[in-house]
Amino acid sequence: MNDVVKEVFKFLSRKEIEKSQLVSRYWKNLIALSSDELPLRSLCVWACTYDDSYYFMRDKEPGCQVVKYPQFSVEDYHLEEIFQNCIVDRLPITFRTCAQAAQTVVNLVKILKQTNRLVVAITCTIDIVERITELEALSHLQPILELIQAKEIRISINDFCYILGHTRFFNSGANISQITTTIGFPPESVPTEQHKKQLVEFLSGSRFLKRIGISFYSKLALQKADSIDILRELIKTFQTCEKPKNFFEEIEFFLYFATGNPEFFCGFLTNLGLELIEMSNTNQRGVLNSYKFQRSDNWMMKIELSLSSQNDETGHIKFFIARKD
Amino acid sequence: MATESANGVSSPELNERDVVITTNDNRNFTVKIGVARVSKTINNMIQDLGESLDLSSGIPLPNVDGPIFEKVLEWCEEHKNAPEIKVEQDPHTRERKWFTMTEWEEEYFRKFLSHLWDLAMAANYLEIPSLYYYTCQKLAERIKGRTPEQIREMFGIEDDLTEEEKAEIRRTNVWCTY
Repeated sequence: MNDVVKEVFKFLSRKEIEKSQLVSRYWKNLIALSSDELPLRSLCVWACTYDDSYYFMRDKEPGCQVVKYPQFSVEDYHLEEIFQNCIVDRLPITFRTCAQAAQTVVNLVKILKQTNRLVVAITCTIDIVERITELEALSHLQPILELIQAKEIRISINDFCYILGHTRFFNSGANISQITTTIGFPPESVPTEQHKKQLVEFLSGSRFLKRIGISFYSKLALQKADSIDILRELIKTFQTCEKPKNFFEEIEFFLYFATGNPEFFCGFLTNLGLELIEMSNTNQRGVLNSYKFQRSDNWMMKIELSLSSQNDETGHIKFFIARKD
Repeated sequence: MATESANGVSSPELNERDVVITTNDNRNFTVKIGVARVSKTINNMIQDLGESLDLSSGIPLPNVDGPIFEKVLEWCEEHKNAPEIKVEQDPHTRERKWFTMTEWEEEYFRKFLSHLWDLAMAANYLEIPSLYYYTCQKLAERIKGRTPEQIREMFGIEDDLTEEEKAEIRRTNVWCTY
Protein backbone atom coordinates (compact mmCIF):
# COMPACT_ATOMS: atom_id res chain seq x y z
CA MET A 1 0.00 0.00 0.00
CA ASN A 2 2.85 2.36 0.88
CA ASP A 3 4.25 2.19 -2.65
CA VAL A 4 0.90 2.98 -4.22
CA VAL A 5 0.11 5.97 -1.99
CA LYS A 6 3.65 7.29 -2.45
CA GLU A 7 3.30 6.95 -6.20
CA VAL A 8 0.04 8.92 -6.09
CA PHE A 9 1.76 11.70 -4.16
CA LYS A 10 4.47 11.90 -6.83
CA PHE A 11 1.83 13.22 -9.24
CA LEU A 12 0.93 16.04 -6.86
CA SER A 13 2.53 19.40 -6.19
CA ARG A 14 4.18 20.03 -2.81
CA LYS A 15 1.24 22.24 -1.87
CA GLU A 16 -1.17 19.33 -2.40
CA ILE A 17 1.17 16.92 -0.57
CA GLU A 18 1.34 19.16 2.49
CA LYS A 19 -2.44 19.46 2.50
CA SER A 20 -2.65 15.66 2.32
CA GLN A 21 -0.78 15.38 5.62
CA LEU A 22 -4.01 16.45 7.30
CA VAL A 23 -5.99 13.50 5.91
CA SER A 24 -4.81 10.80 8.34
CA ARG A 25 -1.90 9.76 10.54
CA TYR A 26 -0.88 7.13 8.00
CA TRP A 27 -0.68 9.69 5.19
CA LYS A 28 1.12 12.18 7.44
CA ASN A 29 3.77 9.64 8.48
CA LEU A 30 4.22 8.33 4.95
CA ILE A 31 4.77 11.87 3.61
CA ALA A 32 7.28 12.60 6.37
CA LEU A 33 9.17 9.35 5.71
CA SER A 34 9.17 9.78 1.92
CA SER A 35 10.16 13.43 1.94
CA ASP A 36 13.35 12.78 -0.04
CA GLU A 37 11.43 11.18 -2.91
CA LEU A 38 8.35 13.39 -3.17
CA PRO A 39 8.05 16.55 -5.29
CA LEU A 40 9.51 19.82 -4.06
CA ARG A 41 8.02 23.28 -3.99
CA SER A 42 9.37 25.58 -6.64
CA LEU A 43 9.96 28.92 -5.02
CA CYS A 44 10.38 32.33 -6.60
CA VAL A 45 12.54 34.67 -4.58
CA TRP A 46 12.95 38.29 -5.43
CA ALA A 47 14.15 41.45 -3.71
CA CYS A 48 11.90 44.41 -4.17
CA THR A 49 12.76 47.13 -1.72
CA TYR A 50 15.37 49.53 -2.97
CA ASP A 51 17.83 48.82 -0.18
CA ASP A 52 17.23 45.07 -0.33
CA SER A 53 15.96 45.14 3.24
CA TYR A 54 13.15 42.75 2.33
CA TYR A 55 12.91 39.71 0.14
CA PHE A 56 9.68 38.34 -1.22
CA MET A 57 9.05 34.69 -1.88
CA ARG A 58 6.19 32.90 -3.54
CA ASP A 59 5.33 29.36 -4.50
CA LYS A 60 5.29 29.24 -8.29
CA GLU A 61 1.98 27.42 -8.25
CA PRO A 62 -0.92 29.80 -8.94
CA GLY A 63 -2.91 31.11 -6.00
CA CYS A 64 -0.17 30.78 -3.39
CA GLN A 65 0.64 33.35 -0.79
CA VAL A 66 3.58 35.74 -0.93
CA VAL A 67 5.92 35.75 2.04
CA LYS A 68 7.80 38.95 2.82
CA TYR A 69 11.01 38.35 4.68
CA PRO A 70 13.66 40.67 6.10
CA GLN A 71 17.35 40.17 5.40
CA PHE A 72 18.52 36.62 5.67
CA SER A 73 20.62 35.63 8.64
CA VAL A 74 22.36 32.27 8.98
CA GLU A 75 21.23 32.04 12.61
CA ASP A 76 17.57 32.35 11.70
CA TYR A 77 16.24 28.82 12.06
CA HIS A 78 12.79 29.85 10.81
CA LEU A 79 14.34 30.04 7.37
CA GLU A 80 14.92 26.30 7.43
CA GLU A 81 11.16 25.84 7.70
CA ILE A 82 10.58 28.28 4.87
CA PHE A 83 12.94 26.49 2.55
CA GLN A 84 12.02 22.98 3.67
CA ASN A 85 11.21 20.80 0.65
CA CYS A 86 11.74 23.70 -1.72
CA ILE A 87 13.93 24.51 -4.62
CA VAL A 88 14.67 28.10 -5.40
CA ASP A 89 13.80 28.67 -8.97
CA ARG A 90 15.49 32.02 -9.33
CA LEU A 91 17.77 33.74 -6.92
CA PRO A 92 18.29 37.46 -7.40
CA ILE A 93 21.66 38.92 -6.66
CA THR A 94 21.35 42.68 -6.65
CA PHE A 95 24.33 44.89 -6.18
CA ARG A 96 22.45 48.01 -5.12
CA THR A 97 23.97 48.52 -1.74
CA CYS A 98 26.82 46.38 -2.81
CA ALA A 99 28.50 44.87 0.22
CA GLN A 100 25.35 44.57 2.30
CA ALA A 101 23.31 42.96 -0.44
CA ALA A 102 26.10 40.61 -1.36
CA GLN A 103 26.38 39.45 2.24
CA THR A 104 22.63 38.88 2.34
CA VAL A 105 22.78 36.63 -0.67
CA VAL A 106 25.84 34.79 0.62
CA ASN A 107 23.89 34.14 3.84
CA LEU A 108 20.91 32.87 1.91
CA VAL A 109 23.02 30.56 -0.21
CA LYS A 110 24.72 29.23 2.95
CA ILE A 111 21.33 28.49 4.48
CA LEU A 112 20.26 26.66 1.35
CA LYS A 113 23.45 24.62 1.39
CA GLN A 114 23.17 23.82 5.11
CA THR A 115 19.78 22.19 4.67
CA ASN A 116 20.38 18.94 2.87
CA ARG A 117 16.79 18.62 1.82
CA LEU A 118 17.08 21.63 -0.42
CA VAL A 119 18.09 21.93 -4.00
CA VAL A 120 19.90 25.17 -4.51
CA ALA A 121 18.95 27.86 -6.99
CA ILE A 122 18.96 27.06 -10.63
CA THR A 123 18.84 30.55 -11.99
CA CYS A 124 20.87 33.49 -10.87
CA THR A 125 20.02 37.05 -11.75
CA ILE A 126 22.56 39.78 -11.48
CA ASP A 127 21.36 43.33 -11.70
CA ILE A 128 24.14 45.80 -11.06
CA VAL A 129 22.24 49.04 -10.70
CA GLU A 130 24.81 51.09 -8.91
CA ARG A 131 28.08 51.54 -10.75
CA ILE A 132 30.74 50.05 -8.63
CA THR A 133 34.29 49.25 -9.46
CA GLU A 134 35.02 46.10 -11.33
CA LEU A 135 37.02 44.69 -8.47
CA GLU A 136 34.24 45.41 -6.00
CA ALA A 137 31.69 43.61 -8.14
CA LEU A 138 33.94 40.65 -8.69
CA SER A 139 34.91 40.35 -5.06
CA HIS A 140 31.23 39.98 -4.16
CA LEU A 141 30.30 37.84 -7.11
CA GLN A 142 33.01 35.23 -6.64
CA PRO A 143 31.89 33.78 -3.27
CA ILE A 144 28.32 33.59 -4.54
CA LEU A 145 29.28 31.81 -7.73
CA GLU A 146 31.39 29.41 -5.71
CA LEU A 147 28.53 28.61 -3.32
CA ILE A 148 25.70 28.42 -5.73
CA GLN A 149 24.74 25.45 -7.91
CA ALA A 150 22.95 27.58 -10.46
CA LYS A 151 23.23 26.40 -14.01
CA GLU A 152 22.39 29.68 -15.62
CA ILE A 153 23.39 33.23 -15.04
CA ARG A 154 21.36 36.15 -16.41
CA ILE A 155 23.23 39.34 -16.76
CA SER A 156 23.09 42.61 -18.70
CA ILE A 157 25.52 43.02 -21.56
CA ASN A 158 27.34 45.79 -19.69
CA ASP A 159 27.81 43.66 -16.64
CA PHE A 160 28.71 40.76 -18.84
CA CYS A 161 31.38 42.92 -20.45
CA TYR A 162 32.42 43.84 -16.93
CA ILE A 163 33.37 40.31 -16.12
CA LEU A 164 34.54 39.28 -19.57
CA GLY A 165 38.14 39.75 -18.65
CA HIS A 166 37.69 37.61 -15.56
CA THR A 167 36.33 34.35 -16.86
CA ARG A 168 38.32 32.49 -14.22
CA PHE A 169 35.32 33.04 -11.95
CA PHE A 170 33.29 30.64 -14.04
CA ASN A 171 36.08 28.10 -13.77
CA SER A 172 36.42 28.21 -10.02
CA GLY A 173 33.81 26.01 -8.42
CA ALA A 174 30.79 27.47 -10.18
CA ASN A 175 28.56 25.18 -12.17
CA ILE A 176 27.36 27.80 -14.58
CA SER A 177 27.02 26.30 -18.02
CA GLN A 178 24.81 28.90 -19.55
CA ILE A 179 24.89 32.67 -19.76
CA THR A 180 21.94 34.73 -20.85
CA THR A 181 22.75 38.33 -21.48
CA THR A 182 20.68 41.28 -22.61
CA ILE A 183 21.36 44.26 -24.75
CA GLY A 184 18.84 46.84 -23.58
CA PHE A 185 18.26 50.41 -24.65
CA PRO A 186 21.16 52.47 -25.91
CA PRO A 187 23.30 54.30 -25.25
CA GLU A 188 24.25 52.91 -21.84
CA SER A 189 23.99 49.29 -22.92
CA VAL A 190 26.08 49.45 -26.03
CA PRO A 191 29.26 47.48 -25.65
CA THR A 192 32.44 49.26 -26.55
CA GLU A 193 34.85 48.11 -29.27
CA GLN A 194 37.00 46.55 -26.58
CA HIS A 195 34.02 44.68 -25.17
CA LYS A 196 33.03 43.37 -28.59
CA LYS A 197 36.51 41.98 -29.06
CA GLN A 198 36.37 40.42 -25.61
CA LEU A 199 32.96 38.96 -26.32
CA VAL A 200 34.19 37.19 -29.43
CA GLU A 201 37.29 35.96 -27.62
CA PHE A 202 35.09 34.71 -24.81
CA LEU A 203 32.74 32.90 -27.18
CA SER A 204 35.57 31.17 -28.97
CA GLY A 205 37.77 30.35 -26.01
CA SER A 206 35.51 29.00 -23.32
CA ARG A 207 35.90 25.34 -22.49
CA PHE A 208 33.35 25.18 -19.72
CA LEU A 209 30.37 27.23 -20.85
CA LYS A 210 28.21 25.42 -23.36
CA ARG A 211 25.50 27.90 -24.19
CA ILE A 212 25.03 31.63 -24.38
CA GLY A 213 21.90 33.58 -25.15
CA ILE A 214 22.08 37.22 -26.17
CA SER A 215 18.90 39.30 -26.18
CA PHE A 216 18.19 42.50 -28.05
CA TYR A 217 15.18 44.24 -26.56
CA SER A 218 14.82 46.83 -29.31
CA LYS A 219 15.71 47.26 -32.93
CA LEU A 220 17.59 50.39 -31.94
CA ALA A 221 19.63 48.41 -29.45
CA LEU A 222 20.40 45.91 -32.14
CA GLN A 223 21.59 48.60 -34.53
CA LYS A 224 23.51 50.58 -31.94
CA ALA A 225 25.18 47.51 -30.63
CA ASP A 226 26.55 46.87 -34.08
CA SER A 227 25.49 43.32 -33.60
CA ILE A 228 26.13 42.53 -37.22
CA ASP A 229 29.76 43.31 -36.51
CA ILE A 230 29.63 40.98 -33.54
CA LEU A 231 28.13 38.22 -35.64
CA ARG A 232 30.59 38.82 -38.47
CA GLU A 233 33.48 38.64 -36.01
CA LEU A 234 31.99 35.55 -34.48
CA ILE A 235 31.78 33.71 -37.79
CA LYS A 236 35.22 34.90 -38.86
CA THR A 237 36.69 33.70 -35.59
CA PHE A 238 35.02 30.32 -35.97
CA GLN A 239 36.35 29.98 -39.51
CA THR A 240 39.91 30.81 -38.57
CA CYS A 241 40.36 29.66 -34.98
CA GLU A 242 42.72 26.80 -34.16
CA LYS A 243 40.43 24.98 -31.75
CA PRO A 244 36.82 25.13 -32.93
CA LYS A 245 35.88 22.57 -30.29
CA ASN A 246 36.39 25.31 -27.68
CA PHE A 247 33.62 27.34 -29.26
CA PHE A 248 30.24 27.49 -27.51
CA GLU A 249 28.10 24.61 -28.67
CA GLU A 250 25.08 26.84 -28.90
CA ILE A 251 24.78 30.59 -29.26
CA GLU A 252 21.33 32.07 -29.41
CA PHE A 253 20.36 35.65 -30.26
CA PHE A 254 16.85 36.65 -29.15
CA LEU A 255 15.17 39.50 -30.98
CA TYR A 256 12.17 40.90 -29.10
CA PHE A 257 10.61 43.10 -31.73
CA ALA A 258 8.85 43.14 -35.08
CA THR A 259 10.23 39.93 -36.43
CA GLY A 260 7.05 39.01 -38.27
CA ASN A 261 8.92 40.20 -41.29
CA PRO A 262 11.01 37.36 -42.72
CA GLU A 263 12.82 39.72 -45.09
CA PHE A 264 14.42 41.34 -42.07
CA PHE A 265 15.93 38.03 -41.06
CA CYS A 266 17.14 37.21 -44.52
CA GLY A 267 18.63 40.67 -44.94
CA PHE A 268 20.29 40.30 -41.58
CA LEU A 269 22.27 37.27 -42.65
CA THR A 270 22.83 38.45 -46.20
CA ASN A 271 24.58 41.45 -44.67
CA LEU A 272 26.91 39.01 -42.99
CA GLY A 273 28.01 37.77 -46.38
CA LEU A 274 27.19 34.19 -45.55
CA GLU A 275 27.34 31.58 -48.23
CA LEU A 276 24.09 29.71 -48.19
CA ILE A 277 24.48 25.94 -48.28
CA GLU A 278 21.04 24.87 -47.29
CA MET A 279 17.82 26.74 -46.75
CA SER A 280 14.39 25.63 -45.69
CA ASN A 281 11.22 27.68 -45.40
CA THR A 282 8.41 26.79 -43.06
CA ASN A 283 6.04 29.67 -43.63
CA GLN A 284 6.96 31.88 -40.69
CA ARG A 285 6.46 29.16 -38.13
CA GLY A 286 9.18 27.21 -36.44
CA VAL A 287 12.46 27.29 -38.29
CA LEU A 288 12.28 29.96 -40.94
CA ASN A 289 15.59 29.62 -42.67
CA SER A 290 18.58 27.49 -41.93
CA TYR A 291 22.12 28.16 -43.08
CA LYS A 292 25.10 25.90 -42.73
CA PHE A 293 28.73 26.30 -43.49
CA GLN A 294 31.70 24.22 -42.57
CA ARG A 295 35.45 24.41 -42.25
CA SER A 296 37.89 22.25 -44.10
CA ASP A 297 38.40 20.15 -40.94
CA ASN A 298 34.68 19.30 -40.98
CA TRP A 299 33.73 21.56 -38.08
CA MET A 300 30.44 23.10 -38.98
CA MET A 301 28.38 26.08 -37.87
CA LYS A 302 24.66 25.88 -38.43
CA ILE A 303 22.61 29.04 -38.20
CA GLU A 304 18.87 28.90 -37.75
CA LEU A 305 16.40 31.73 -37.97
CA SER A 306 13.15 30.97 -36.25
CA LEU A 307 9.95 32.51 -35.02
CA SER A 308 8.18 31.16 -31.96
CA SER A 309 4.75 31.38 -33.58
CA GLN A 310 2.94 33.23 -36.30
CA ASN A 311 1.79 36.03 -34.01
CA ASP A 312 4.80 36.10 -31.77
CA GLU A 313 7.21 38.91 -32.34
CA THR A 314 10.07 37.02 -30.77
CA GLY A 315 12.66 35.77 -33.17
CA HIS A 316 15.72 33.65 -32.58
CA ILE A 317 18.98 33.30 -34.38
CA LYS A 318 20.72 30.18 -33.21
CA PHE A 319 24.27 29.12 -33.96
CA PHE A 320 25.07 25.47 -33.43
CA ILE A 321 28.66 24.35 -33.56
CA ALA A 322 29.28 20.71 -34.36
CA ARG A 323 31.74 18.46 -36.11
CA LYS A 324 30.36 16.82 -39.21
CA ASP A 325 31.51 13.20 -39.27
CA MET B 1 9.77 -17.75 -36.64
CA ALA B 2 10.83 -15.52 -33.77
CA THR B 3 11.19 -16.99 -30.32
CA GLU B 4 10.51 -14.32 -27.73
CA SER B 5 11.74 -15.66 -24.45
CA ALA B 6 13.82 -18.14 -22.52
CA ASN B 7 13.27 -21.90 -22.45
CA GLY B 8 11.72 -21.90 -25.87
CA VAL B 9 8.22 -21.65 -24.44
CA SER B 10 7.35 -18.28 -25.84
CA SER B 11 6.39 -17.79 -29.43
CA PRO B 12 3.61 -15.99 -31.32
CA GLU B 13 1.73 -19.30 -31.46
CA LEU B 14 2.00 -19.71 -27.72
CA ASN B 15 0.50 -16.24 -27.23
CA GLU B 16 -2.68 -17.51 -28.85
CA ARG B 17 -3.01 -20.44 -26.47
CA ASP B 18 -5.08 -20.27 -23.28
CA VAL B 19 -3.79 -20.39 -19.73
CA VAL B 20 -5.85 -20.73 -16.56
CA ILE B 21 -5.24 -18.12 -13.85
CA THR B 22 -6.63 -18.66 -10.37
CA THR B 23 -7.33 -15.67 -8.11
CA ASN B 24 -7.32 -15.71 -4.29
CA ASP B 25 -11.09 -16.33 -4.15
CA ASN B 26 -10.56 -19.55 -6.18
CA ARG B 27 -12.03 -18.16 -9.37
CA ASN B 28 -10.49 -19.52 -12.55
CA PHE B 29 -9.93 -17.27 -15.56
CA THR B 30 -9.07 -18.71 -18.94
CA VAL B 31 -6.90 -16.12 -20.64
CA LYS B 32 -4.88 -15.94 -23.87
CA ILE B 33 -1.19 -16.06 -22.94
CA GLY B 34 -0.55 -12.97 -25.08
CA VAL B 35 -3.02 -11.02 -22.96
CA ALA B 36 -1.79 -12.40 -19.62
CA ARG B 37 1.74 -11.40 -20.52
CA VAL B 38 0.89 -7.68 -20.26
CA SER B 39 1.53 -8.46 -16.60
CA LYS B 40 5.28 -8.81 -16.10
CA THR B 41 4.64 -10.94 -13.00
CA ILE B 42 2.62 -13.49 -14.98
CA ASN B 43 5.06 -13.30 -17.89
CA ASN B 44 7.94 -14.11 -15.52
CA MET B 45 6.01 -17.09 -14.13
CA ILE B 46 5.40 -18.40 -17.64
CA GLN B 47 9.07 -17.99 -18.53
CA ASP B 48 10.28 -19.54 -15.26
CA LEU B 49 8.05 -22.56 -15.68
CA GLY B 50 9.29 -23.04 -19.22
CA GLU B 51 8.34 -26.32 -20.82
CA SER B 52 6.98 -27.61 -17.52
CA LEU B 53 4.18 -25.03 -17.75
CA ASP B 54 0.85 -26.85 -17.47
CA LEU B 55 -1.62 -24.54 -19.12
CA SER B 56 -4.67 -26.25 -17.66
CA SER B 57 -3.64 -26.50 -14.01
CA GLY B 58 -3.58 -22.72 -13.51
CA ILE B 59 -1.27 -19.96 -12.40
CA PRO B 60 -2.15 -18.88 -8.85
CA LEU B 61 -2.51 -15.17 -7.97
CA PRO B 62 -2.70 -15.08 -4.16
CA ASN B 63 -2.82 -11.27 -3.92
CA VAL B 64 -5.64 -10.45 -6.35
CA ASP B 65 -9.33 -11.27 -6.11
CA GLY B 66 -11.63 -12.22 -8.96
CA PRO B 67 -13.64 -9.00 -9.37
CA ILE B 68 -10.48 -6.86 -9.57
CA PHE B 69 -8.66 -9.32 -11.84
CA GLU B 70 -11.62 -9.17 -14.20
CA LYS B 71 -11.11 -5.40 -14.50
CA VAL B 72 -7.36 -5.83 -14.89
CA LEU B 73 -7.94 -8.30 -17.72
CA GLU B 74 -10.06 -5.74 -19.54
CA TRP B 75 -7.06 -3.38 -19.45
CA CYS B 76 -4.65 -6.11 -20.57
CA GLU B 77 -6.84 -7.04 -23.51
CA GLU B 78 -6.84 -3.44 -24.73
CA HIS B 79 -3.09 -2.96 -24.10
CA LYS B 80 -1.67 -6.30 -25.24
CA ASN B 81 0.29 -4.74 -28.08
CA ALA B 82 0.85 -1.31 -26.56
CA PRO B 83 4.41 -0.02 -26.24
CA GLU B 84 6.01 0.45 -22.82
CA ILE B 85 5.01 3.78 -21.24
CA LYS B 86 7.62 6.42 -20.48
CA VAL B 87 7.55 7.71 -16.91
CA GLU B 88 8.99 11.22 -16.66
CA GLN B 89 9.39 13.76 -13.90
CA ASP B 90 10.34 17.41 -13.65
CA PRO B 91 14.13 17.44 -13.21
CA HIS B 92 13.98 20.09 -10.50
CA THR B 93 10.73 19.65 -8.57
CA ARG B 94 10.59 15.85 -9.13
CA GLU B 95 6.85 16.14 -9.88
CA ARG B 96 5.65 13.39 -12.22
CA LYS B 97 4.66 14.52 -15.67
CA TRP B 98 1.02 13.66 -16.27
CA PHE B 99 0.09 11.18 -18.98
CA THR B 100 -2.36 11.89 -21.74
CA MET B 101 -4.96 9.14 -21.79
CA THR B 102 -7.01 7.84 -24.66
CA GLU B 103 -10.80 8.07 -24.68
CA TRP B 104 -10.93 4.31 -23.95
CA GLU B 105 -8.68 4.73 -20.92
CA GLU B 106 -10.69 7.70 -19.61
CA GLU B 107 -13.87 5.67 -19.96
CA TYR B 108 -12.24 2.68 -18.24
CA PHE B 109 -11.40 4.79 -15.17
CA ARG B 110 -14.83 6.45 -15.19
CA LYS B 111 -16.37 2.97 -15.09
CA PHE B 112 -14.17 1.75 -12.21
CA LEU B 113 -13.85 5.00 -10.27
CA SER B 114 -14.70 3.39 -6.94
CA HIS B 115 -12.06 0.68 -7.36
CA LEU B 116 -9.00 2.84 -8.11
CA TRP B 117 -7.00 1.86 -4.99
CA ASP B 118 -7.62 -1.86 -5.57
CA LEU B 119 -6.69 -1.49 -9.23
CA ALA B 120 -3.46 0.33 -8.37
CA MET B 121 -2.47 -2.33 -5.85
CA ALA B 122 -3.27 -5.14 -8.26
CA ALA B 123 -1.35 -3.39 -11.06
CA ASN B 124 1.60 -2.93 -8.70
CA TYR B 125 1.62 -6.62 -7.76
CA LEU B 126 1.07 -7.80 -11.32
CA GLU B 127 3.63 -5.31 -12.66
CA ILE B 128 1.51 -3.62 -15.30
CA PRO B 129 3.21 -0.20 -15.54
CA SER B 130 0.58 1.47 -17.73
CA LEU B 131 -2.31 0.49 -15.44
CA TYR B 132 -0.29 1.25 -12.32
CA TYR B 133 0.89 4.75 -13.24
CA TYR B 134 -2.35 5.75 -14.94
CA THR B 135 -4.39 4.67 -11.91
CA CYS B 136 -2.06 6.57 -9.58
CA GLN B 137 -2.50 9.64 -11.77
CA LYS B 138 -6.29 9.22 -11.60
CA LEU B 139 -6.09 9.01 -7.80
CA ALA B 140 -3.94 12.16 -7.74
CA GLU B 141 -6.53 13.84 -9.94
CA ARG B 142 -9.20 12.96 -7.36
CA ILE B 143 -7.10 14.41 -4.51
CA LYS B 144 -6.09 17.61 -6.29
CA GLY B 145 -8.05 20.67 -5.21
CA ARG B 146 -10.06 18.83 -2.54
CA THR B 147 -9.97 19.57 1.19
CA PRO B 148 -8.70 16.91 3.64
CA GLU B 149 -12.33 16.40 4.75
CA GLN B 150 -13.49 15.78 1.19
CA ILE B 151 -10.60 13.36 0.57
CA ARG B 152 -11.43 11.38 3.72
CA GLU B 153 -15.08 11.17 2.74
CA MET B 154 -14.27 10.19 -0.85
CA PHE B 155 -11.91 7.35 0.10
CA GLY B 156 -13.58 6.36 3.39
CA ILE B 157 -10.53 7.23 5.49
CA GLU B 158 -10.88 7.63 9.25
CA ASP B 159 -9.95 11.03 10.72
CA ASP B 160 -7.47 9.78 13.33
CA LEU B 161 -5.43 12.97 13.81
CA THR B 162 -6.05 15.06 16.91
CA GLU B 163 -6.70 18.80 16.62
CA GLU B 164 -3.29 19.42 18.22
CA GLU B 165 -1.57 17.29 15.59
CA LYS B 166 -3.35 19.15 12.81
CA ALA B 167 -2.38 22.48 14.33
CA GLU B 168 1.24 21.33 14.50
CA ILE B 169 1.19 20.31 10.82
CA ARG B 170 -0.18 23.75 9.90
CA ARG B 171 2.39 25.50 12.11
CA THR B 172 5.41 23.71 10.68
CA ASN B 173 4.29 24.13 7.09
CA VAL B 174 5.02 27.79 6.50
CA TRP B 175 3.36 27.78 3.10
CA CYS B 176 0.17 26.19 4.42
CA THR B 177 -3.00 27.88 3.17
CA TYR B 178 -5.62 25.36 4.33
